[in-house]
Amino acid sequence: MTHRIRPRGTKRLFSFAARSRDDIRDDVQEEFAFHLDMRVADLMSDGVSEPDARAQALREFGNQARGAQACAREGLTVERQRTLARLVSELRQDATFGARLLRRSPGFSTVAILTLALAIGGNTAIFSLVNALALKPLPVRAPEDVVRVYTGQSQTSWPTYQDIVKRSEVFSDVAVHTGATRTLIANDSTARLSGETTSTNYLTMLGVPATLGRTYLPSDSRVDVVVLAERTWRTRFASDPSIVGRRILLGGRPFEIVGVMPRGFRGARPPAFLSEFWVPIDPALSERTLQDRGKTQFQIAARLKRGVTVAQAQAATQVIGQQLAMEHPELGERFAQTEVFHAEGIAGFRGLTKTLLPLFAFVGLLTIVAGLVLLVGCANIAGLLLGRGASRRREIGVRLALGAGRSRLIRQLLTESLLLALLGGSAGILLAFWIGGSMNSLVGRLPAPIELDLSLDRRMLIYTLTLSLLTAVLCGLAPARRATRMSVIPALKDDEPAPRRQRMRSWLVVGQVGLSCALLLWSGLFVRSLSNAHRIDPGFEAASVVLAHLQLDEDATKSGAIAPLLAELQSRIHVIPGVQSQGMAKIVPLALMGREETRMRLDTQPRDQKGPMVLVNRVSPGWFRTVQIPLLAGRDFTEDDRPGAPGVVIVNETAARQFWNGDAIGKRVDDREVVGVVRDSKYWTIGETVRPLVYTAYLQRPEWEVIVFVRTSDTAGTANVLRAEIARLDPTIFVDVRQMTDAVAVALVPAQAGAALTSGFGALGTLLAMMGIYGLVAFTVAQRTRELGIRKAIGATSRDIVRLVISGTAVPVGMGLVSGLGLGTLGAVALRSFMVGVSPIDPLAIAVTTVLVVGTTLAASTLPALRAARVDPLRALKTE
Amino acid sequence: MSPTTTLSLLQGTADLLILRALQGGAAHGYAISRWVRERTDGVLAIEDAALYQALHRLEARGWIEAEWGLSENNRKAKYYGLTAAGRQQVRSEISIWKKYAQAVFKVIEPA
Repeated sequence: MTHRIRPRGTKRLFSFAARSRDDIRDDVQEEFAFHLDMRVADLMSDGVSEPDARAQALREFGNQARGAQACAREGLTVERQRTLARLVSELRQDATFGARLLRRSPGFSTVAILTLALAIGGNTAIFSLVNALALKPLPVRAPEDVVRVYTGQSQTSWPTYQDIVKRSEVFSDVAVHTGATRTLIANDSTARLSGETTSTNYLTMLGVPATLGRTYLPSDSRVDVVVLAERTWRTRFASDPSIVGRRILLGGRPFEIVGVMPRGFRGARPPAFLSEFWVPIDPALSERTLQDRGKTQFQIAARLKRGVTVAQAQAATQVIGQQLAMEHPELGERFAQTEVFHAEGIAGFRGLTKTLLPLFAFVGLLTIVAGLVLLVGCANIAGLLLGRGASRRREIGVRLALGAGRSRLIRQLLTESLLLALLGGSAGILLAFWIGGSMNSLVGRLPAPIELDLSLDRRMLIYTLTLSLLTAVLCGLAPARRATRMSVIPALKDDEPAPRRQRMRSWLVVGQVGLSCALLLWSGLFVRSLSNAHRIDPGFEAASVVLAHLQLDEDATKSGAIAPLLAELQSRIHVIPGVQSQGMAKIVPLALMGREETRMRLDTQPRDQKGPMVLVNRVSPGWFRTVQIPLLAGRDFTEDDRPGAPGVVIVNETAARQFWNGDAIGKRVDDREVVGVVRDSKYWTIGETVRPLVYTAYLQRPEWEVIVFVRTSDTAGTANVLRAEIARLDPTIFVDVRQMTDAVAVALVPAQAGAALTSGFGALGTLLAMMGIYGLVAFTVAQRTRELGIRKAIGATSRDIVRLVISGTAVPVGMGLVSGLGLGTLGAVALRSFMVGVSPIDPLAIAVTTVLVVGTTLAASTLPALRAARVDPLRALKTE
Repeated sequence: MSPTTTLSLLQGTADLLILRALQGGAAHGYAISRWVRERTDGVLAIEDAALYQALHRLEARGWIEAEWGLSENNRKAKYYGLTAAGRQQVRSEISIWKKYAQAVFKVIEPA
């Protein structure tokens, strides 16, 4: 009973456009009308009159309007399902087709995927860094409720902490913790571990259970228990599963290991800052410091009560701060400025921002650079796709002629670029892992337990996926639109398209050359700055100096044993053959180990005024001679500058000039007399401008951590003897002996990293731009074969042809060069703080960049130009 | 056709009748309506508006599919045919109905 117009199934194949709501409603109306007409006709053939028949038909039909509405609703569902099914099947078709095409041109595919892998991988690697530093949640239970409390400064005293615990009602738990470095003695080996001393509720407040054993609890009365970090357990105890219950010596005291924390747990510390162990605060050991409200040594971490916001907690805690400020006026105003903020994310770095600002700026720079390289890569792929679009004119023409819709074709071409981008993105993730590994090994050279958590997470996957999709659209859309915008007839006849089709490619080349030019310029500046950094005089002489970094446990200081111990050590060093001089200091300049900065009051200023910020180092007699910082006026410290003797300091030239117009001797700083002036030297980074620096007398206040500097004619021999002597003197002292030149080399890490990364990205960008130029020229030559043939036939020489082809690239390359140098110089101005002794407008770097860009352009266009010169006029004219 | 006492349909019965009607091949809505009326001697009648609703609902469930074709009198008409899933559905619904009907008979006509 059916009479089909078309064979079954063909309708769906051809119904490309989705039906609208109105179409569906019309269909239903038509269907109903047909039904009624048929019924009327049937009734009339039974002899019913037409008006009666229609009335009966309508009656039998029931409520038409409601029926139509319900039908249309169902119809819309059907339509939606059908559209989705079609999209899926088309996507599958396109993907299969695209995959086949990619397999068929392995050269193109390899180049494109590699380009994208490098470009996307670079970006993913940088993002993983940002992710690790700012986005990953603090690895604790409900991290959004964990906050830090600053009582006007990052550190708080024990009595203040107790007051906050007693008076605050916004926290469910308040804990304190502070960094502690201790010597671990276990398995007959010693190691220096950086961990935390905490209140007993610290680990339970964070709510992370131990993976092995248990954490210590608020109810624990024992203080000789230690919880290890997973890393410590793995590297120091070979992941011994029966570690719980083992006794170790930590800082000279016995501890029992009660648990091991899960991997990645770092307490409430900022991202990347590891802790290697946790021990409870021993009230007996630090009784005196726990009672002193002025001894600010703890950081407060707290958990908000359910439903309390950070702002509410801050308001409530500020009230306590104001009360405390009134009750203890001797502590100053700052208590009133109590702050509460999240412990995770970028806020977790509060208090460290000053030190880490260069790092953040550097990450920002890397993000920009990696983004630029991705743009260059996209331009390149777009160029390749344009070329392919041109060579597939015929195929696309045929499909258009057969009735394929343009948007459908664009979708198919986009699926191809999407396929490329996804493959490139997957390879990029692998690359990002590798880059991440090398970043961590670079970070590992820094003298602190720092490890970036660069493991793959959902955020990274989403980022890379989004980036891949963006890339696919960015490099695929324009070529796809271009390829499908054609008149069908000439395409089928294989006529050559008009030459103005290359305009887009030329613009791509301008962009590519410009971006890679900027990258090259920056890498040039960084390389120059690195070589400058090597040449810059730090103001001291690190060669031939051996450092012995002594770390004593805190109780040794208290017993007053440290001064005699150091005196004995000095007398033993004195007799080591080859030793010329020795001295001690708290800080090794340029080694990124320790930095002390404080306000000091000058005698020249009124009493109520705040003193200027100065850098501080604590040094012993002989230190200046050992590192060869010349004394310009006054005297060095002597053995007589000991505790009890009048306080003395030595200042650098800059301090003398800024504070006392160069006449510093006899003046007073913080009620200590200036007895000497020494020449300026670098303190924190090699590129810095020298700031006022005050040297205090180490012997007047010995500390538990000190570095012995020894100038010797035999560094290797001295290092060995030094190590042996210290071990003989006191085997519990932890000592790290190395060359001062090695320690100072850390100062070059930022410059080296900057140079390496920008050079790498610059080289990558240039390579990509070269490929782009090669593509442009090769494409042009292929398009102009006939024209070049005619030129040869009427007498042009091969040299004329080469010149003609190469000169075609001159305009886009020239434009790219100029805009790139402009962009690069602008960027360099912003990057000035990373550069050492280089002006943003550095003629040498600009010249080298120009030569490189012009040279690579020539190289890239020569090959296709030579091919053009070999065109055989006869054959060229015959190709039709 | 003389008016007969018609029974209102039990829930879901309309679907079964439609699917069963289409077992004979694709048909348009009017043909289905006539088939049901003729096969049940006019005892069971589906109100036409409900019939079309059921047809569209069955289509949305994927048991039948629709396409436009030409009717016997050369008018454009929408034809419905069973899909593979639909064929499966008729068989299972019929067997369920038989069991149901037998059970009901056993109750109302005790042996």
